[in-house]
Parts: sequence; structure tokens; C-alpha cells
Amino acid sequence: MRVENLVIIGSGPAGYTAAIYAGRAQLQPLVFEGFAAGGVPGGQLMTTTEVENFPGFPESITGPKLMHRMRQQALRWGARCITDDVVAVDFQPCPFQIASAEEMVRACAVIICTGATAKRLHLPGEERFWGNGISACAICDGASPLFQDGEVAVVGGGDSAAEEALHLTKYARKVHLLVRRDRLRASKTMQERLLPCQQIQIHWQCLPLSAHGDEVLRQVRVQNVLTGNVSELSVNGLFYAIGHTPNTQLFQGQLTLDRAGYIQTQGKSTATNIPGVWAAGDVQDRHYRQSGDGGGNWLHGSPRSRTLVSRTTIAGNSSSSINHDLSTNTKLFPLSQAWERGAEGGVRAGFMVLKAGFDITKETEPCQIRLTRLFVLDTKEEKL
Amino acid sequence: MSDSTNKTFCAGYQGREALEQLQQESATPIVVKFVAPHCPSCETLAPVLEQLVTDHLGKIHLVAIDLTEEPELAMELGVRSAPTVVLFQGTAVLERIAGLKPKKLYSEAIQKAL
Ligand SMILES: Cc1cc2nc3c(=O)[nH]c(=O)nc-3n(C[C@H](O)[C@H](O)[C@H](O)COP(=O)(O)OP(=O)(O)OC[C@H]3O[C@@H](n4cnc5c(N)ncnc54)[C@H](O)[C@@H]3O)c2cc1C
Repeated sequence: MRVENLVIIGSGPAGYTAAIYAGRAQLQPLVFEGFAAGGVPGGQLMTTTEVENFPGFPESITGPKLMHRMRQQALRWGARCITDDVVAVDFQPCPFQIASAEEMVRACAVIICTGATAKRLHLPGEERFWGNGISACAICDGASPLFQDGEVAVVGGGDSAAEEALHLTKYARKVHLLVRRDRLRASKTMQERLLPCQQIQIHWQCLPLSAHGDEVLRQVRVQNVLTGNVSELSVNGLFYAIGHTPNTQLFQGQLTLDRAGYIQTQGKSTATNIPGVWAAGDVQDRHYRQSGDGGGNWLHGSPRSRTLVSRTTIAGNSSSSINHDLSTNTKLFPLSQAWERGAEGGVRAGFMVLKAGFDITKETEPCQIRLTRLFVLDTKEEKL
Repeated sequence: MSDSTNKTFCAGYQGREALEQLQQESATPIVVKFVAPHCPSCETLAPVLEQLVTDHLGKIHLVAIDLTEEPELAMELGVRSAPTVVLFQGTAVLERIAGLKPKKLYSEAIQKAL
């Protein structure tokens, strides 16, 4: 089985940004883009219309277009993409093992960018009407004939809820926005668009209790949290916009997660508790959860990877002489562990193949080298 | 994500008429994918279905229907969200897969129909 330098799991802004950086460092990253397990390839921005805060697009850009361009950029720098979900990982052995539904690979380093999935309320009746009126994505499902000229409800008070409500006015006659508190969490810009909209009625301090209907959703029972009054809303649609849960089930028991399930990283870095495994984007950032941040956040990781590459450049100097001895003498470690062990001084690192024209004096220029494998030799065992 | 944002509608046949004609004239199983504009999961599914149809060339038809253009047909067939894949033999429904599901499910359904 081929050992990859770097496997990236997830293809939202964080995943593709990591792929662009790693690609430019000649690491030829392998990206598992996802399929159905934790949202579509391209991530959460695939479910939005206009992205207005991403630097460089003064007229704004649609989420899918932005993600398409990020993907093209990653491909341009040599990332290889597999459109499939990762179904199992094992971070104990070196190199790590990563299995998708169709493939099994080993990798010296892994960057986890699996993002987050929309939360559900698990109301009585929800399972029955999921996809038959209840949804967590107005952009995806709003065009369904179920909602044409009907009434629908959106649950939530943030930017996503506001955006979903506004989007649904294209299809539905009336949109009820159910807000748990007495004010909106949505940004001022969003509120300014939402509040004057005649088609949207806001129900303050109101929560859905249960869903009812026949083949499809017909009513939602709602409760005023202040008075306790229960009433019925005749709606064909109920859309959740109540936040996200990180896609980390896959890593439970292997990585340290916080109480809400986000991957814990060390300080301000993207390093997890396992050397060689990093996490970036929404999967480790419960506070900002913005695409610009998800992408930018990988920048924390990138100087490290660059140092790693330039360090191996030095070590590469001796690689020609140690090459043939590797089979007997070598211990394989994940990249970051190699880096740490290297720093302890007892270990030397080398890699197998150097691109022709390699110039050691230009060690800070990562694109000069082609890193195919990283080997770590214990100097005590080294017979050079 | 597919390389072409237009892939959603790039099936061999399109629309209700094409479906009805195939149902009358052909004994070959028909995979109908109900899609919608701006549906990212539809785009994700597109190359998977295209690959399956290529793998079974001549043994299966693929028809794309935009459910916003054919709301009655969608309602008739119980299609409520996009993408939904409905597998036909003539006018009989063999299988219905609503939402984006693991790839294996689509290949198994098609295998069973062949
Ligand atoms: C409706 C909406 C509108 C938004 N609008 C904006 C905006 O205007 N501006 C802004 O800055 N932010 C916006 N955001 C937030 C932004 O989308 C996120 O912060 C950003 O997408 C996070 O990027 P990410 O790469 O961490 O994760 P995600 O975008 O969540 O991507 C996760 C990726 O991981 C993949 N994945 C999951 N599980 C697996 C698995 N098991 N195997 C393989 N792959 C897997 C998924 O397929 C996906 O590709 C919006 C969010 C939503 C929901």
C-alpha cells in the first residue's frame, strides 16, 4: 500500500486551503473530499448563496463558485482529490491508516478538516417528516414543490436563519421565523434585510414542539417560552438553522475532543494530541466558524509545515548515502513526530528522492524539493 | 465536487417526455434522477450516476428531471427533495432513494434491476 505524505480529510475552505499550501510545498496531498457523511464536497458554503465577507470578491461570490475555484487552485498545485467519505482512521500505527468506502491508504501526516453539520432538534414527528417537509437546508430543499406558494417555518435567530428565511420567500407565500429569544443574533446587515420583509413573520420567544401531518408535514406545534401557551402553525415546511455539530464521530477515542465534540488543538496551533495529526476549520473552531477563518486558520499550521520541509532539505543532503540501508535500519514516524524527535538531537531525518537540480543553499524554497517519504533514523543504530 | 457546475443536468435524457417515451419503447431499466437548481448534493451525485451508466452501457437509461419544472410528476412519485433517484422498469417503480446516500446504495440498486 502506498504511503502518502499527507492526507487531508474534508474539502471545505479549510481542506482546500490546506491542499493549496501542501501542494505548493510539493507534498502532493491526497484529499478525501467527502460525499454524503458530513455534508457535500465543498462543505457548508455549497449550501449558501452569496458569500459577502470573503476578501477579494467586492461584488460577492456564490458559495459553490468560490468552492469550485478553491478546488481548481488545489488541483493546480498537485492535490489529488477522491470524492468519498472516510469511514475509519487509525492513528496508532505509523504511518497512520485511513479508510474510505472504496480505498485504504497510509499517511505520514493527516490534516482533519471535516467541518460541521447542521443540528437537528429531534422533535416528535421529525424522523417521519425528514425530507418530507423538514430539512436543515433551505437552499437545497426550498425549491421542492411541497413549498410552492405555501407557508413554511424557519427555526433560529442567527445569520443562517435570516438567510434561509429570505431565500424561502422566493418559493413560499409566507415564512414564519421562530426565534427562541427576544432578539436576533443575526448580523446588522442581515437584520436590515430581514425585518422589512413583508412575507416574513417573526415569532419571538417561540419554540417548535412537535411535527404533524399525513404523507407530508402539515402542522407544527409551537410554544411561547414565556407564557407556555401552545398553538398550531399550519406549515408545509420546517427548516432548522440552529447551529452545527462538528463532524468528529470518526475520531472519538483517538483524538482529544472538547465537551461539545470539537477537536482540541494545542494553544493557538492546529496540532492535535497526536503528533502528525492536525485539525483546521470549523471542526476545531467553535467560536468563529467562518470560511475566511477556516481557510486562514490553516495558516497557523503552514509555517510549521514549511519548516518541516526546509528541515528535511538539510537532512536530504545525506539521503543518497543512507538510501540503500533504509529497509533494515529505518523506523518510520509521522512527519511531525520526526520533526520533534529531530529536535531532540538523537535522530536524523532523510528522504528518498530529490528533484534534479536540488540546491541545498536554497533550503527555504520548498518548491525545490520533492518530498516523497520521510524517514527517521535513530543515530545510535545508524551505520554510516 | 464535480469539475463542471453544469453536470447536474448532463444526463443522457432530460424531462418528463423523454421518460414517458422510454417507458413505452424500451424494456431497459431507467434511472431517473430528480434534481433542482442550486442543489449541491445533485452535483455531487451526478458523476456517480454517470459512471454507473457508463459501466453498464446500453443496459440502463439515465433521465434527469428538474423537480421545479415537473412538480406534479414529482408529487405523484412521492419525490419531496432533491436529489431523489427513482429506478423504473417500464412504469413500475423498483426503488426510490431520497437524498444523497452512500455510493454503494446506487450501484446495488442498479445491479438488482439488471
Ligand atoms: C448557510 C451558511 C452560510 C454561510 N455563509 C458564510 C459567509 O457568508 N461567510 C463566511 O465566512 N462563512 C459562512 N458560513 C460559514 C462557513 O461555511 C464555514 O465556516 C466553513 O465552511 C467552514 O469550513 P470547513 O472547511 O472547516 O468545513 P466545512 O465547510 O463544513 O467542510 C467540511 C468538509 O468535510 C467533508 N467531510 C465531513 N465528513 C467527512 C468524512 N467522514 N470523510 C471525508 N470528508 C468529510 C465534507 O464533505 C466537507 O467537504 C456559512 C455557513 C452556512 C451553513
